[in-house]
Amino acid sequence: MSENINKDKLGRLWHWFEHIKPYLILTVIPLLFTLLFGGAFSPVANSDVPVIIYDMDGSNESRQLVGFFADYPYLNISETANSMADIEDAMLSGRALGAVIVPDGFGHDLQTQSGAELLVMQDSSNFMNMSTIMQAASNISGTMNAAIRLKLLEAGGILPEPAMQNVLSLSVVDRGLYNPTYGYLYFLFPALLAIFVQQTFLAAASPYLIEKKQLMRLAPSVRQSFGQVAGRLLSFALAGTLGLFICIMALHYVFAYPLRGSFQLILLVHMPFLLGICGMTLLIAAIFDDVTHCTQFNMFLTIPSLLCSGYAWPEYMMPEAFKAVAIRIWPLYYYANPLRSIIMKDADFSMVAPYAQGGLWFAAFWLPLGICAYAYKVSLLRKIEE
Amino acid sequence: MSHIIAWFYRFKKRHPYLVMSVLIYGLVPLVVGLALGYEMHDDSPVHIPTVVVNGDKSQFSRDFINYVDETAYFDIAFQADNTAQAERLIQEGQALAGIIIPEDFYKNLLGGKSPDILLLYDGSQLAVVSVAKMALSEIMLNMNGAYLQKIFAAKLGVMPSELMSQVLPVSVTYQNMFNPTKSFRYYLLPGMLLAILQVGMVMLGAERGYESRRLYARDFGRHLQNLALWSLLATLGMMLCLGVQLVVFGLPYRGTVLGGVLLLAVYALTITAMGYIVGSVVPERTFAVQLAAILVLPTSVLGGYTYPLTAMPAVYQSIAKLLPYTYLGSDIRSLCLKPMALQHVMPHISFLALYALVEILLLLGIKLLLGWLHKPQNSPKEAVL
Repeated sequence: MSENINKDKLGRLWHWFEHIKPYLILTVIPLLFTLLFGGAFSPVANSDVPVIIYDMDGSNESRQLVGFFADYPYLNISETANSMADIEDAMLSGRALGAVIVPDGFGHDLQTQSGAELLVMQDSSNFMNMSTIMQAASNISGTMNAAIRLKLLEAGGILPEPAMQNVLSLSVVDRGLYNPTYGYLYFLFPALLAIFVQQTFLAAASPYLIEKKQLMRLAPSVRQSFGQVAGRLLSFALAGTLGLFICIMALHYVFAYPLRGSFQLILLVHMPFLLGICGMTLLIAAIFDDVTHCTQFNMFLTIPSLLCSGYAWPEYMMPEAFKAVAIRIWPLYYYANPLRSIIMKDADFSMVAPYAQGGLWFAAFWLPLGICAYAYKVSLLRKIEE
Repeated sequence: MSHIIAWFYRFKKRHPYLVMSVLIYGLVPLVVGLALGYEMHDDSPVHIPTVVVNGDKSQFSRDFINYVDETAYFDIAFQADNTAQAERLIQEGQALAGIIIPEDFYKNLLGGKSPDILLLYDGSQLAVVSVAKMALSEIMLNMNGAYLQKIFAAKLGVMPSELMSQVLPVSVTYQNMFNPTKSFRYYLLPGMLLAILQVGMVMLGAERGYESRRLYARDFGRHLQNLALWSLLATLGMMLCLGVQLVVFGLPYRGTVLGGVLLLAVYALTITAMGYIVGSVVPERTFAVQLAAILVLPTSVLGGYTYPLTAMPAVYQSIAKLLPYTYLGSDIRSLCLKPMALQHVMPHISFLALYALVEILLLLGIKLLLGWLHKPQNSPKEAVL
């Protein structure tokens, strides 16, 4: 008896979960992913990059140089090599991502002012590690060189202050606009937000549309059902919008993500995107009859749609023909790029308007097509049923 | 037209496995591989649209700007009057880098007043920044060296033959190993394509696991058969995807072929088994597939493939050690770019094999438990394949 009651309770609980599942997908899942990825990318510096050192010289000067590398905050001198074979093995197996080789005679060359040489090898298969190692070697050698040059100039009779100015020579100042630390968190999150909106809408709306399609196959009249579909899609769109703003707030308050643009402009590109993605969802739901297979297809879209949107790979580098096709068959281009401009660069209306317009044109084509395809599929299923 | 659609509808209904397998292991690898390979066939961001503010107008600064423009990396597309204008062009996305040369730059340089050159980068475009920063640093280093040679020659009377060793007492030679052209495509695509495919692998695994949920421990051979078959298909799908890059877009493959095949095969087994376990325990088919996909989707980011693990907090580094993708992504890129031998990739293959073994044992445990909880009702018709 009690077992039946428990089963009944479980059944009701499951039914309730099924009912609210799409709304959880649209609001809670993006928040969880925001917290997960935000935590991963929160440190803005790449530290502890493993580097192997091969000091062939063993002089005081070379030991001092090795000490500079050991003390450098972003490197981790993980190993000391005794031969080039050690270096090769460490770099091939991934134990070291860079190598500093101090050749024999380094100290002698430095003392006799005959130009000492240093070889730095960096694994350039990962750009972030490569640039960390190069930056470290450049800073260390630059500091050493400046100190030696200063001594030489002072020894040549030049007063310390002018000597210092000559040593500094050109002062190159780097400024990373909108992302001064070149942090991955700042760069990636606008794209992730766009992907969250896209994928959660697809995940929430497609199963509903497919199940509704099967129900409409048997229904005596479909007019009222189409009204219900429109109402439900609208509720998904609203929940998706809420999910987006929850994520933006979480980013801002939990990870101190600077928000520069206006929410109105975000909505300006968000609304056409929702219309466009709604059209694509209707089309996909018209093609698939199995919810699971449709889910599989939707999940596949995550990474390719991002890589084809002009976000990770710069838009100006996309082949024209590719871009022409990519922006006409999927709407993420009109959303991820302006979202980045608004959130990171405080873009104004004039910068965002072309994307909003493009998104509207996209929706103007694909939404009616999606509606027609869905309605056609319903009528086809009804015919097959008859 | 409607006849064709109706025929396809019936065919899909009759042969769902065939249609989805062809789609996930054949069509998706082919289409995605071709599309992304074509999109990134230029390898690295070049001809970066750059804005210049030349407040100096000397021959030296003009030569410098021409020199930058002549490199493959930069295209001096705009001349702005001031920094604000340059920043506006970058904000609008028309320029992605900027060089600001101040007034009287050359005069101050000759006077030893250490003038500033300001380099601006659009920090919202990291792929471009990484290339632009490296290229401009190299240019500035050369320019600095030339300037210092003049100073040392003029002020210390150093002989030309000794100039270099005094200007640069320690000269650093940088050697870009394994990816000398700094190809962004080589850096991104090999692992990212497999990250796309692993989603399909885990979802099909979950679907098969769900369909076989009424087969318990005494039918464990059928589960192993399922895992073996779907892992084999997944391996072939990944090989097809990488093959497209190798054959059509010239992606190098310098490592051990045997190691690569073993890595893909054992990874396919690991991911398929992961999905299979999820499908065996989650009571609803679509939810099982969604859950399985959500388990592996974030690993393409958390596995340290693009954003290095060394840059993540310690707790994420510990989690990453438990993610199979951590061992696949960087290794498959390394196999493409480095002359790796079997011994270099073997530790990760062994780890993934151990991972798969633990998953299979876990599956056995689950089946024993479920078999004990439920009376076995399986019939031969329910056996999957």
